[in-house]
Amino acid sequence: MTTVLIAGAGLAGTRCAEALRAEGFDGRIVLLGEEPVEPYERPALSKELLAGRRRADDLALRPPGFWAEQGIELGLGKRVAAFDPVCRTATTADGAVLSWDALVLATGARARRLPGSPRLAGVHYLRTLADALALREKLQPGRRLAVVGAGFIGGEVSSTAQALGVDVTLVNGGAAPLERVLGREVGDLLAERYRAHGVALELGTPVAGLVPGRDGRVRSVRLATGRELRCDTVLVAVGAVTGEIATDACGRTAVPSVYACGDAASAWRPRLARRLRAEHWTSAAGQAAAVAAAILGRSEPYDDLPYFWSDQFGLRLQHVGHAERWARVELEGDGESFGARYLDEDGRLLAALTANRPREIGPLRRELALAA
Amino acid sequence: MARYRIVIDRSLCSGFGSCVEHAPNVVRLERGVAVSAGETPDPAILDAATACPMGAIAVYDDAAGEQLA
Amino acid sequence: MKTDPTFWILARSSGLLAYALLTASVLAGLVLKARPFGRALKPASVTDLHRFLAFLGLGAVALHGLALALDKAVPMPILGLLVPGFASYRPLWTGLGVAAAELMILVYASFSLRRFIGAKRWRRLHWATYGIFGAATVHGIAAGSDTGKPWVLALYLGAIGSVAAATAWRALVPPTVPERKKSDGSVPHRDRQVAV
Repeated sequence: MTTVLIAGAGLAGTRCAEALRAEGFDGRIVLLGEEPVEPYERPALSKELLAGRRRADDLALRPPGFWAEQGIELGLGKRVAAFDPVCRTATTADGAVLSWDALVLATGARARRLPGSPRLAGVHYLRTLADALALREKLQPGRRLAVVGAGFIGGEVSSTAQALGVDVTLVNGGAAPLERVLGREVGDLLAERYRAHGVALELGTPVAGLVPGRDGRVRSVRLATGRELRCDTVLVAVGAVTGEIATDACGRTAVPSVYACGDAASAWRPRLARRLRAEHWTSAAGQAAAVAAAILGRSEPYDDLPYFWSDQFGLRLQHVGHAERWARVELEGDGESFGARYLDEDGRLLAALTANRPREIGPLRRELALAA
Repeated sequence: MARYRIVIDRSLCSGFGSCVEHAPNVVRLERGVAVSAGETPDPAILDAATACPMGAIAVYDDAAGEQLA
Repeated sequence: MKTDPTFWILARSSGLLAYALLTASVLAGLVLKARPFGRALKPASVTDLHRFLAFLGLGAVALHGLALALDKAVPMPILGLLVPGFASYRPLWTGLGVAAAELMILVYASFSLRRFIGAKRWRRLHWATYGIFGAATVHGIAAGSDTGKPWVLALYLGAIGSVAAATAWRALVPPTVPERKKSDGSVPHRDRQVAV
């Protein structure tokens, strides 16, 4: 019997398993997840779960009996530590050896650690459900939270924490939040909004280190300027690290019968004529479906316009397209509702961002599809 | 800001495709009728539902309570 | 002998009203996909308006027919209202009006009958609306008594012009995202109701 082994039970891994069954695959599907919990919806960790609006078991991607019903062997708390492409085996961290005919690497990412920092109590990262539950304990009114990194996680957690009455200071090495992805103009607009919501911002100042108190807990964040920010909890949100496994548009790696999808993969995107590691929900789900098709011998490349959303400080941000460099940003609107267009030197639209303007996304998608 | 449950009334769907324009990763047209993934955390589905000229898409907050039709 | 002009006037005015309502309904139908009033009006509300205008139009048509039947100045037997060409007064042009009215009833009713005829056939039938509009326009111009009046002429020209413009605009709207093989990667599951 053909066995498909899927390493990783996040969105990519689970969607791949589901797609295989939906497409009529009758062989064995083994789905192994490192975390000891039922596959869940990761985007909610920085938002509703942290805010206490949803419980951990509400985040399950599928109802508990689902996997068994589909004949998908779900193994929780099992990390695939190594695999052998020649013998077509894989070894889990607890020593079990499995054979496979097709292997899907959907191992996701890890939170990047702050370099040179000792392990201190009170310093949090946010990647897993366990991380989120631990952080939630600390978000009480009056507590002082320092968030290192004004990316999407940093922004969303700041928003959630501030709404819970926590004293939030957001520290960023760059001059504006989300500058790298959204540009300085939008970043400045966001900074204004963060401030207006009572978040203290330390921009343009890298973090030099975390200072421990006498009890071994973190006492403050030391900035490169020498200043120290007193706090009782630190969230480090400086990005995610993965193996960046290169794949084609269908999720095939250079090794036959080995596939990759989701945050772990850097997939070729025909529309962009380059490989892209997109840390987004839609990319993970779309790539997973492409991998399932490829395993079944069908070529269904995933080439959708990159798209993601983020909810923070009363702003529904939606972003379509992909632009790492642009010549010009056309920003229109105000802190409450705005739209930004990212153009190249020839005035061609590369990507677009809307904030609280959901109606514009449909037309923008069309425009981007034509501009390509 | 929550996970959304999607219900498409196939008898109302007339294949306009406005929904697909807003949330192509959630809804697609299959033989002229809209089909969805059933649920998503993507807020674009709310706009997709509003955009339907036939009001064929209903979106529910997973913790019960209708958001849109 | 003096005949009471009441029904004759009612017939003419209800006829023009029916035409105006029909035109408005057609225009609403043509623009409803494009969100004519931006965020203020949901497409589904425009659809409701489209159907309501059609319903009012049908009401005005019924009134128009009734008034014609009750009017003594021009003989109009019941069959003349029901069979295109049967009427003795300008049979061709009146007949077009009868055909338009009957087609209008059919198209309006077809919405409730979608379950039986299927969405595809329903859409194809809906194209007949252009036939309804064309026949109603010609009927009004050729069989109507007020065509000579400048404002009535303006009504016809305005109607034809706006329907033509709206049709052109709708035709020029870029196509929607074409049918794709996969959506959220979450392929509708065999067991789930949403699955095709």
